[in-house]
Amino acid sequence: MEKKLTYEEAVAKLEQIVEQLEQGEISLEKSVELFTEGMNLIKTCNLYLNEAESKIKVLVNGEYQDLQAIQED
Amino acid sequence: MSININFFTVKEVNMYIKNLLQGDSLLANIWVKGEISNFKAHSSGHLYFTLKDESGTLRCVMFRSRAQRLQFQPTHGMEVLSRGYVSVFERDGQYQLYVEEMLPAGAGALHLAYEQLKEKLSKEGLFDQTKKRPLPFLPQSIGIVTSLTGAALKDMLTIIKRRFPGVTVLIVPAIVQGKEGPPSICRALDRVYQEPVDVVIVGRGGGSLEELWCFNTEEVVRKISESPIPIISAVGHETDFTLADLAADCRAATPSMAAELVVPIKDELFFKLNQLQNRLNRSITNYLAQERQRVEFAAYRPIMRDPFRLLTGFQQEMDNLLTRLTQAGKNKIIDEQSRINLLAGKLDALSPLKTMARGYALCFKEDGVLINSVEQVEVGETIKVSLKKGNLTCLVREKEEG
Repeated sequence: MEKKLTYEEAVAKLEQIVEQLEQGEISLEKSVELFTEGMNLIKTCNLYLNEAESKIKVLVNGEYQDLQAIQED
Repeated sequence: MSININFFTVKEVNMYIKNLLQGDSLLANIWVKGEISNFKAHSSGHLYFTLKDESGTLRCVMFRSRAQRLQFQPTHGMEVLSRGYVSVFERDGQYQLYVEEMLPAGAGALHLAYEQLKEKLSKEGLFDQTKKRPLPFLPQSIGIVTSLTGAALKDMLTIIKRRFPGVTVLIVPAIVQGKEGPPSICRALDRVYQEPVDVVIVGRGGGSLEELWCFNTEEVVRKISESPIPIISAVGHETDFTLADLAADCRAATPSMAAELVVPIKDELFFKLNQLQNRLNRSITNYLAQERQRVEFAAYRPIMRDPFRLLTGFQQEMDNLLTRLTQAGKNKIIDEQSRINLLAGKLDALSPLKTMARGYALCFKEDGVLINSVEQVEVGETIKVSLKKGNLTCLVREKEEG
């Protein structure tokens, strides 16, 4: 299976693809292929930036607790 | 007279006391604070002195092997901290402190301890630059080991949230000052090392040198250097340097700085990503437009617009060839005709009819065989004679050999 890219890897690959496309000199098939891959990478990157919702937890006595709950105590 | 009393020898008593003292775990390794008096540096290298305070004195000896490691010169009247074990010097029947390590008391002691530990751990390679790992560019989750109550935590959370809302933060609380600090920090680090975090921040806000001391203790420094996860130390203010800073993969001057180091600014990433997306779209659009233009350019070339032009050339060629072919045929026929005429003339010249016209005749036997010798015929045989005009049937009367 293909290893999941980190955000940094995905962006680096995306940059490389854009540069390749901008330089031209590639076949139509190849450029369409690269473009599709680029779009997928954008999706991956956006996922990284968007997916996580803010989670702040405190580990107390081996249990995860909400920070606010603890501070209210 | 015999006196029946159980007695001990001096040696036995001293040995007994020695064993008692040596069996005591507190006395086996003890720090003693006091002022040096009766200091004597023996030529053998051993140091003899007493430690005293208002209430009394304690005899001490520091053997040469230990004394050699002293980083300062002890003198009479100096306040020191001495570590060692208490045992009995049998010759004098005196107990004394066998000093293994000695530091000047007060802030000087901290400084000295710092330098000593730094040198020791440095020799072990704990601070090697080659061991430093890069921080992840965009961590999914961040572990923080610090005090729950300090301003440091609040500052870090605020900054992390501002820069990259949405990242997961796991806080493992620890006591970050005092005697309980080091074991508490080590426990928290051990715990956070087991969590699925991409990076760890360990630290606390500013304080006095003593308050920050936890981060100069051997156990904490070692624990940090053993981190399986990239780790940032963030202790005190910009001017505070600790051994923890040296052992971590990265030193942040303050906890707030650590928060800035640990996550990029989300909006900037979005901006960059959008730029890339635009470039990607533009490049494929440009590419396709350019290719379309190429196709159109090719399509508008005259040859594509008027394909019959292609044929005109061929037609001309065909006409040409046809003409040549016809011409060649004609010539051939003329040639053949003249050749036939020539042959016919020759044939004509050779014709027997011509000869007969001059009065010659042809003789045939009755069966039609041409006669050209007398031997072919007998006397009395009938033969045919063919003249230019008409035929004769003749009887052979006589033969004359030619």
